[in-house]
Amino acid sequence: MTLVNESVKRAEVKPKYCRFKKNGIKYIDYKDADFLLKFINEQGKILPRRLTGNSWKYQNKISQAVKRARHVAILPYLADQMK
Amino acid sequence: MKNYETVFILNPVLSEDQAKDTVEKFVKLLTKAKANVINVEKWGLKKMAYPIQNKSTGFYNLIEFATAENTLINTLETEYRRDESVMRFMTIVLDKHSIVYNERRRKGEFNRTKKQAPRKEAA
Repeated sequence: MTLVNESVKRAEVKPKYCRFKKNGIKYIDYKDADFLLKFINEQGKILPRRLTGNSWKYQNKISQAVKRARHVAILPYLADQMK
Repeated sequence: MKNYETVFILNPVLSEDQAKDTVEKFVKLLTKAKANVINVEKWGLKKMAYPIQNKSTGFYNLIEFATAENTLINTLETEYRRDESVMRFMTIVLDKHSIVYNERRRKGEFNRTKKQAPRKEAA
């Protein structure tokens, strides 16, 4: 049985957009935990760009904010079944 | 004239007024060095994401100030290190976007004081 990759249904694949450029958000506050929770997974790791769809500039700001929040114990370094 | 923002966590063992005067002490240190303290926030006893010095709660405080003298940050941080009731501290410099953000946050423009996105973004 040959392995055939099914075709990707173009309609389903919605184009990703950088929410920061779209909404004009300029500063990501490291103190705002519930906004940062959108960018980390259940174990508290930072989600990669290909999932969040952020542009490089804002993904850097996100990771910097998350690392600062971790330092000040607003976000955990590692967590199980968080959120 | 650079803007800085410092967040520090005080030991929960302290009583309310002890925590208050340590915050006063740091604010006085800043005003004595002619820094203009813009905003002091006390978030009170908050649960921390992970235990620090095996304590799981702490008094969170934030001081936003502006100063031209850059050595003030070192004196502030040595003061933090000297004071053993401060469990953790962090000072960051604010760029122009964060200054605008902080003013809007102080005006309470975001519906919840901590909410970041100004407009309802399609989450």
